[in-house]
Parts: sequence; structure tokens; C-alpha cells
Amino acid sequence: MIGELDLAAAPRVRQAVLQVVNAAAEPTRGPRVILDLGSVDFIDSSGLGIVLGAVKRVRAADGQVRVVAGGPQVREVFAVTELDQILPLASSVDEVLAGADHG
Amino acid sequence: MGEVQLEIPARVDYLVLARQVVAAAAAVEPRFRDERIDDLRIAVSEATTNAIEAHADLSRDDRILIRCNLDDERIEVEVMDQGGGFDPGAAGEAPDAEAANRLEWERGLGLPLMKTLADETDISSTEGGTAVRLVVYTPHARRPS
Repeated sequence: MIGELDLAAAPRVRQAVLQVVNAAAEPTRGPRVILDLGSVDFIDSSGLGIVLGAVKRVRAADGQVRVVAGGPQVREVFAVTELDQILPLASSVDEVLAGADHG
Repeated sequence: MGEVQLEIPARVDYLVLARQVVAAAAAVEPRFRDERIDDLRIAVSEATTNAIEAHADLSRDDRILIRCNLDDERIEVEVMDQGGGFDPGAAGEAPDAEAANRLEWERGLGLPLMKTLADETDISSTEGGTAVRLVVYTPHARRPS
């Protein structure tokens, strides 16, 4: 995802995320999804709602979600809402993939 | 004291403009650190999002007024809409991070974010509209006790 994740972007981004999540969940149970927010410069509660919706959907299919957060603004919003405690943030997609190799 | 006013239609495509104008106004005062301006951008985004949503059932040509007052100690931002109002006390608080139902709390994150990120948050809501007042102080400012 790129740009500013707010109410204006929400419908478009929500649809795109759901397409990916549904496609991943369809063939097998237990999909592994990475939400890459590395190029997101701004996120607010509307953007958080999209992330939480995706996480719920993947977990409902017995899957796992990792969230990649790049910039300090994104990290702060996750920290202030304490969502980083239930969705630990990775610093890059490579980090998530490297972790997946090991376990 | 400098004052900046922005009037926008109650439409989501104007959210980014609201954030940009307030952040640019705050940046006029060099004592604001970038992190605090980021905090203010988020709080203003939440207040303006609520204002736009309050107009969802009304005419989208209705205006939302965003007024910034800046001096060397603080920036005060007021976001005023003409929507139907709401009860700020009825929104409740998000469950603790450890709570099993925490992921269910997709909405309602905006008010807690505003209250955490701004130094002062006042909300007054009537049937004629809602006014949200956000204040962020510069470091070492003399704050009211």
C-alpha cells in the first residue's frame, strides 16, 4: 500500500485488501498474508479499521497476518492504540519472509 | 497570534487538504517538533473525518470550518461541522490490548487517538453541529493549570 490511508482511501483499499485476502484464503485454509504499509506515509483510525478488518478475515480462515510498518507516523499510531501489542510490526517484507523460513 | 481559516465541503477528498493546511500552519512556529506536528495531523484527521461522517446524511455541499490559532506557545485548532451531533461520552473506550475482543474494535479509535495525541481535546456537540477543539503546546510553554 502506498500513500495516505484515511477515510478517502478506505473504500478502494478495503476492496483491494479483501480481494487479496479472499484469494489467499480460497485454495487452502491457513493463508499467510503480509500487509505491507512500508510506503504508507500517513494512517489514521480509518486506515487502522482496514487493517483490523483484514486481520479478522485472515484469522477467521485460520491464517496469519504480519504487518510491515515503515515510517514513524505509522508506528506511532499502532503504538498509541496499543495495536502493536497484538499485531507486532515487522520492519520489512524480507524480515517476515526470513522469519517464515525459520519456522 | 496568527489565525488561519479553511472552509471545506463535507467530502472525504478534502481530508488531505485539511491535514496539510494545519500542519503547514503549525510549521510556521519553529518550536514545534516534527513528531508533534505529526500528532496534530492525526488528531485533525480524526476530527475532520468525524465531521465529514456527521454530514453523511446531509448535503455534501455543507461546509466544515477549520480554524487554527497559533502563537509561540501553542496551536489551537477548531473543527466545526453542521452535522447532527453525537454524544462524545457514549462512544466508550477500546478494550485493553490483551482483551480477546480487541480486534472487534474496528471503529471508535478516532476519539481515543485525538485525546492521546493532542494536549487538550474539547468536544461540544449539539443538534446543530459539533465543535472539536484541539490544542498542542510547544515544548516549555506555560500551560494553564
